[in-house]
Amino acid sequence: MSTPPPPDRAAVLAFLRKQEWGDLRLELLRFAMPRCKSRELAEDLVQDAIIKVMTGDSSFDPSQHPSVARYMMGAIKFALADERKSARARKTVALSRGRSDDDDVREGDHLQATNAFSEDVAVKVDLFTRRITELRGRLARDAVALALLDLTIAGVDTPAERAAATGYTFEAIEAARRRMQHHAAAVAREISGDDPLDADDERRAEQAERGDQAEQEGEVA
Amino acid sequence: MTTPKKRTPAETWEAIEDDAEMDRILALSKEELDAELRADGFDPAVERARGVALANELLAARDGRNKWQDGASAKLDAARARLASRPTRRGKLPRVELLAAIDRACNDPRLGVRASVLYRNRGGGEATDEQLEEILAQLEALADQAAAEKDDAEKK
Repeated sequence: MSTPPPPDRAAVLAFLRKQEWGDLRLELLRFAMPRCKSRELAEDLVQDAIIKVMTGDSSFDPSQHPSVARYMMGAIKFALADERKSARARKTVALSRGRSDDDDVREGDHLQATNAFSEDVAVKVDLFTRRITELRGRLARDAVALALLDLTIAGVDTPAERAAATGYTFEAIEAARRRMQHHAAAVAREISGDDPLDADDERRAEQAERGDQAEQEGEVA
Repeated sequence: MTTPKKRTPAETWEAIEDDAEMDRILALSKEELDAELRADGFDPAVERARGVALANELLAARDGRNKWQDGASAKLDAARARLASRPTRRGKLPRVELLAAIDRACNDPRLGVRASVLYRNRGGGEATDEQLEEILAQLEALADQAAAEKDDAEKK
């Protein structure tokens, strides 16, 4: 994948000036809160995301990312994943340093807990694997949405990268994204576990799908 | 650009759900957004004001930085143009004359410490004749630039 040219500084600044930063902060906080252990962490991540975009210390380019809000929400997800990785690393170091003779007595309990954890992981892996398989089946006749699912699995998330990889327009990718969400909501209901997409998403996805049906033909750029 | 990392089924599902949640949040009306933020324990008016204040502060800082960068860039372009328009020296100077000319430049009050630092960093007395030629050319260009800056300052 080729690296896009650096963004036009003046164009980026003009784009940023047009944003409603008060509302944006609220939207980012709403996105971050359920994903963070504390309000402080959510506020920090939101603040960092805004500062990086506003100071030019990020790859944000409106020609590659039409929505700055979505871009920053993505940045918050990445930052949170880093935060979790660091926390896990700290925990591992602390556990290895804090080990004593008494720990051997608890070894049996520990093994039991580990087995339970492994079973839990196996159940989750099975659940999500079945969901993805079912989703793939539902998208079998929708080439754009299927390509989008493959790109999501491959970790290709930006609209520009997705458009470049498939040859479809931003609009076609957006429409396919909504169709994929609609089917994902149905799959989550069908193969139940935790956290299916909520009813509002479902409703919107259905509306979107009705509007998108006409777009499915001739959407190759 | 980040290098894409292949997702597990769970990560893929989470990505799809996060994507849907982004859409849901971005489709909320102001009233709905405020209500959800209140439920999270925030005061929407305060947070909205913080967002606007932070953005204004950062945009002002970026404006200032851009002006400085534009000014520095213009100065650099002018210096490069001056260097490019300098006539090429006719014939080579003997090493003794090169060293004497560099010594005069290093004592030129318009150049200050810049000249000595440039000379030292490029090898000083250990430099070859060719390198001394280059050093002298750069010092002369610096002297021209200093003169041009002085002219500009006087015009202002």
